[in-house]
Amino acid sequence: MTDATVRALLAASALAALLSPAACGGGGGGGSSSPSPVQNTQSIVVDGGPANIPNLVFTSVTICAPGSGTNCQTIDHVQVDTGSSGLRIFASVLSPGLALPQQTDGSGNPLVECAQFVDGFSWGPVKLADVRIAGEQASSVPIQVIGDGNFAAIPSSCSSSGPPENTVIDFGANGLLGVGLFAQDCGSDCAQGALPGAYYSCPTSACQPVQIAIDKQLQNPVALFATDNNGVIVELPSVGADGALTVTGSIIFGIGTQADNGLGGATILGTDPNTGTIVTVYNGQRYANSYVDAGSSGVFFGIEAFPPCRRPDQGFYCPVATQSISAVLQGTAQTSTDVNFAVANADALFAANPSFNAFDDLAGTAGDTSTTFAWGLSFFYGRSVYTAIEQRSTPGGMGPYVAF
Amino acid sequence: MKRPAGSKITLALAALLAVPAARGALGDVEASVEADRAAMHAMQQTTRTPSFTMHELRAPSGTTVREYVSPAGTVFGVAWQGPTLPDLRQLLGAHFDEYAAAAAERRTRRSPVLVQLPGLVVQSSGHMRAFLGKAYIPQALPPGVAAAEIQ
Repeated sequence: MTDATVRALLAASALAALLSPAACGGGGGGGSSSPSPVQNTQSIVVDGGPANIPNLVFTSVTICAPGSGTNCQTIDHVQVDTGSSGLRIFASVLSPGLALPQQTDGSGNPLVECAQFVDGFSWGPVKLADVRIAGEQASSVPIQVIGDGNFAAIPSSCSSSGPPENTVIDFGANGLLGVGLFAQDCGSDCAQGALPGAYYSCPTSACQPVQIAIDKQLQNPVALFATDNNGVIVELPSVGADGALTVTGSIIFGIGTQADNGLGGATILGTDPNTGTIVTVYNGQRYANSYVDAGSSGVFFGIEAFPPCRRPDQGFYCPVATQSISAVLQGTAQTSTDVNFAVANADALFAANPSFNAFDDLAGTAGDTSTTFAWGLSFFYGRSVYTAIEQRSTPGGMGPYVAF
Repeated sequence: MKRPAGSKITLALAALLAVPAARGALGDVEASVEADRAAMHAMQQTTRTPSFTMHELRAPSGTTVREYVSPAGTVFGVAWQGPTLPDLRQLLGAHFDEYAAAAAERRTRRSPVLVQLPGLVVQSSGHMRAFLGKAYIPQALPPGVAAAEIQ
């Protein structure tokens, strides 16, 4: 029986306990527990999404006008990302009737964010919303609304970090649910100085980078839940070597807070508290800037480990035959674990089944600096991957850590 | 539009101010490093080797940029690391639009970027709070210098 099956059975028994009036509250040890467990599991899906991009995993998020239990909207195809923190939604999919209030900076001017991703930037105002996922809820959460016409002029210090991702198609999702290692997206760096390419103050004149208090920044919604607020588990089933059309799994909130989210036998890898990185040792080389990130499409490392694919898929590897690799992942507390991984020919995968969206053997290059090893969504299939939030306690110790 | 009195002086000043800020930049002369330093409000440290000169620029934001200059005086490579991405338009100069257009072709999202064009290579990886990358002009590498030395 797999860990996932055990967890499903435990979840079912927890549900049965919840439905039985005579039952006592279950609840695991460690974090906060409540008499009747909150429904902490939500379905996730890898199905290509609005831009038909492989290996992006999506869920639905309900947002409401702050304090309103009824003025709400459920947004589908919000990408689940453990490599960033904060909820971002496209203005184009938001109902105007929600009328979310604008977040302001310390001077009372509208606060707008430039979200930098490695492959582009997203620009839009910070607004406040109540956020609901599964049975969990967080109130008045600062979220980013990308592509809002009221802030159409993008400062050059924002647009100069790469291609724009200010439409659903360019971004590949209706939004991004950042449930990563950190409680905010920027944190103390943005509280201590006005960083170009982060938060901007936008009075009626031009927008300028602004220093912004931590509590006004985008917040990891999980950290604001009343319970199950110390991290998440992303669970996806295995897929075959050819991939799959769609794959359905779960995001479970909390680590060791309920019967269904215990650590089991997972190895805990503490991450760098500032950068969220771990270490990978592969082929005798030490990759000190490694990270585990459900928001990234594949496993990315090296540059000439295998032959590259043809343009525009040159970032993927295209070995003649599928290659098996093994690596050791190391955390901060001297813990480590072995990982075996397959690298398939990406061109062949895409050509064999053009409609498929989920691949566990999709890998590519991270450049020749020999320090980055990105364990993206390919790595998540057939695993339960835990992401523990900084400075939150869990039965496995304090975050930030990843475990699987 | 109605112009105020003394518009000639105003216009002359405006023309001066309208000159775009100097761009640094990949493929440019060594003096352009100073424009990048000024734009980043950075501290600068210079290291000389027989095959190249490396100017390290540390911005107050915590992001570090390294610019590699050939003995002939050309910026042949730049590398960056830090919590936010640097101003790539400033660093890549004329090559930025080429980079952005090629990067936008990708079939991934929020994943490391590799752009390999005849006159430009860009490699970028990481995530918020930890970005890492480099860009170089393959033809401009001084003899005996490997691209992997740019980091």
